[in-house]
Amino acid sequence: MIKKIQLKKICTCIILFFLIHNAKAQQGISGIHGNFQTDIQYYNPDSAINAPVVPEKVLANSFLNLVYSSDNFSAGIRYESYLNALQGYDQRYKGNGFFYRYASYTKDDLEITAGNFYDQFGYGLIFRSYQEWGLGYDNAMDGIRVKFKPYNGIYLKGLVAKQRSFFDYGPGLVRGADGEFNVNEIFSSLAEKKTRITLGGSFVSKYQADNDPIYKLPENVSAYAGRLNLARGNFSLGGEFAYKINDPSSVNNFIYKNGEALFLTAAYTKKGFGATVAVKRIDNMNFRSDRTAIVTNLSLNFLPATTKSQTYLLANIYPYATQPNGEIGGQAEIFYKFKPESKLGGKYGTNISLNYSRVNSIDTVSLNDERGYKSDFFKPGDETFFQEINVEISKKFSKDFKLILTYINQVYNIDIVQGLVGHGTVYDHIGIAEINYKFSAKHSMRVELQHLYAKQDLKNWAVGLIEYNIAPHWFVAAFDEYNYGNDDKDLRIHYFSTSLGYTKGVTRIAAGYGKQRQGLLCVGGVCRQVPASNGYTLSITSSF
Amino acid sequence: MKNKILFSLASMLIFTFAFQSCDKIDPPFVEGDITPPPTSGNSSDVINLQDIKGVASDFKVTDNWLSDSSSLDAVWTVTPTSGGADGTITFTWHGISTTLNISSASGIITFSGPVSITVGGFYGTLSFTYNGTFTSGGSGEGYVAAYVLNEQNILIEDYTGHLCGNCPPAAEKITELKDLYGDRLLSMAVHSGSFAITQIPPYTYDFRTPEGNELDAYFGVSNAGNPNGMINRITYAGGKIASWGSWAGHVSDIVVQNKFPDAGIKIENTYTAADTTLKIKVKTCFLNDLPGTYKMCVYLLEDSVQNWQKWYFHVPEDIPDYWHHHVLRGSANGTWGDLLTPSTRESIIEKNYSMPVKNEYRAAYCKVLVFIYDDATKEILQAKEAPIIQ
Repeated sequence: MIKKIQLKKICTCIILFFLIHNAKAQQGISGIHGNFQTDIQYYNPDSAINAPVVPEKVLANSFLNLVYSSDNFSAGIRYESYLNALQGYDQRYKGNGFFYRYASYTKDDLEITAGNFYDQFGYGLIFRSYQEWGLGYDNAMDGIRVKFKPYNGIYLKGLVAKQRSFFDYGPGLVRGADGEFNVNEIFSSLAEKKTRITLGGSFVSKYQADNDPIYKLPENVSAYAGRLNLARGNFSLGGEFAYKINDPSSVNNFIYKNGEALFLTAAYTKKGFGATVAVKRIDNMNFRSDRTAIVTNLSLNFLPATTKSQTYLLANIYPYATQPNGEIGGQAEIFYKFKPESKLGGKYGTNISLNYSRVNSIDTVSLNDERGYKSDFFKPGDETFFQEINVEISKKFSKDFKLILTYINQVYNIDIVQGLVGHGTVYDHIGIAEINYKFSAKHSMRVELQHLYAKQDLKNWAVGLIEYNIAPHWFVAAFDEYNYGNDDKDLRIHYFSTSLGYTKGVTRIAAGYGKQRQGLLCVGGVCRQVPASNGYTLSITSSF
Repeated sequence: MKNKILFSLASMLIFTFAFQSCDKIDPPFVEGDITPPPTSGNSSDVINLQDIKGVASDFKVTDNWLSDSSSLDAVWTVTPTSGGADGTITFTWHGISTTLNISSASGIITFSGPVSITVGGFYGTLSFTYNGTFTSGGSGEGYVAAYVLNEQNILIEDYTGHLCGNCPPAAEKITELKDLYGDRLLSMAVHSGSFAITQIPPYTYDFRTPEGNELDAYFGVSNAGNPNGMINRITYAGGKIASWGSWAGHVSDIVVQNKFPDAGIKIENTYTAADTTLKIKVKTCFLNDLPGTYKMCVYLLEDSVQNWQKWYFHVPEDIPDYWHHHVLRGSANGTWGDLLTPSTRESIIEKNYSMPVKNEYRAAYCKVLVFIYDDATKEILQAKEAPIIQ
């Protein structure tokens, strides 16, 4: 362990020296670039909203990315600091240091990366390594990755690595390979054809020693995936099927059932109209480099959410989290633009979008032993995890005034999605009106009025938000999220918040004060708990 | 071009076959030959002294509970592989030594007599040194009468709840580990958190305790999800909270280390059925000089409590007559226990407690769990349990 830390420090120093030396030597496209972010929060005690007590008073998450790149070579490091981690982030993020560094060289059709990297095979059903700063999610790989393009249209990747677990590594060894074949590029006779075909296949295997004295645990767990993408004109179709051998783990209660995942997507787009459909079936596809890891730690794959990504406050009270143990569902979306000068389009045109998504359990028959259960592939289970209907109409009435009206209908199984008990299912209706108005070239305002109606859980909410922009630098915003319908009068609380921001070029500074309600923050179906809080925030981002 | 395509395909195949070492496990899923590790020794066990060259290691004798006698009888024989030795061998017990002569004849070394040392103290270190020379090494055997080799026991704290459908497999894991490790493996089920609430019929029985709620709030186990737990409250790379899938590995690691314990515990319970009062006498002894502050907790547990439990993927999912084991029911000296001082080697501390046992608890299934922990790290040095009806 000591040797590992020393080696990491030596590598970091070498990369740092190289970066500093070349920063002075070179300017322009090749040279150093990077980005920086710090999020700092001061916490006030507030028992009314069940805000946890924060003895440190001030918590901060920060990072600095530095990347040097030239024609063939790039190297980078990232410094991270959690002193201490913000509330709601996994508290195993503690301390500071350089935990992400890499060097990469490309020559002809070969690219070699040593150190940390992120990557994805196909749709990510068996391998996706990525970082999401807002979630505190980082499953970076640390090892060797080779990319090779032996011929036009053939893209090969291979990797051998360990996986990041906060400021350490997970116990597993990960090996993987991916091949993608663009048929139109491979065969010159097909280069000009309207139909575009891409095939792909991938394989991932993870090794973890079996130190269980009772059960025979598989030490090498493998997963395979095959994918196909077709496109012709305005139409595209794609999909991936993945299979994983027995992988007993804490998440699936140590059953020996194999895992399967299927993801299909189709889209049609043309000017003024678009339609997309996506369906998925996931069965026992939790795949981690540590069989005992839980929550978001050490995941090797990414299972798509197939739900609409929401930005409005009330639409994010009940966000969906993907259920790796089993779910079946899909999403359909239609977008249409009524042309300008038409009857329904008005002078500037009117956009309308409809989105429907639904996720159910899969049908299972318990076997009451270590094999777990059996499941009919095409049969959904009886339990609805999530359903959402979105209708959005966006209309510009003049060059200064734009209105967006949104209606959302949700069915949300709190117990399943949030891993709680006794909360049941919420059936809610949300109405949102967003007004954008330009006073002048530099002054504009955005107002949102939102209302959520529900007879379950926390019941009714109302939101009023106003944001004023003074281009090109300033914005000020305030909103109030009011749980006026809560059965408990003491919990009918105004979650009021205000913020002030300054943007110059690529630098943005925002400071705020207010109360935040307890909830879930989800990105792409991966979520973290956000505890209630009361206090001041400061966020600075920049890039160079 | 054709060569490049063939090369690419060949590379993919090689990659795939190279990684083809996946471990598909067919039933049965249980290890065929589970050999439990050695348990506490008894007076007939032979201790292998292995190669003897120079000064041999101390052999530590502890937990001499079988009688209050502080005499220690030891018999040693040493067989050299070749050659021989002449000299003396000295046994020391609580500072009192007895020396035997070693003589060799025809390659067999015998002592001049059995060792018998009489001196006070339940715990201590029996050491032996010799000032002879084994010219070519050898091996030795010996046994010490009237001793029980004290081992480090392991406590699994299982944070659970009757509405936690994923929790029964974790409880089953504890049962499996108890079968394997016997009395060395202790456990306590702490019912707390959102899965232990009582508002949802028929899950209306309250398993929670103030002590359990306080522990859960402090360690944040239920916040990390249920089931989760701690193994001797050891801090691992990811913290103290250990997912139940890691318990078997962590317990095995502790057992394999075969670490000499830092403390010993003896429990004497007297339960009076007439007034349902339990008197607890606890004797502890530190076996090493330990810097820092140490505390001792005395908890009451009840086993085999039959009530509702949810179990996902089980048929039925809602089980009305589930057996809840090692349920935390209360404490005799508070959630965080009493201070133990001094924490010096061979200091014996005796404490007495009295606590009521609620009528709803079945005395025949109740037991007292005692553990000693480092107040700074919260890590548990030693744990022991005893039924309240002894």
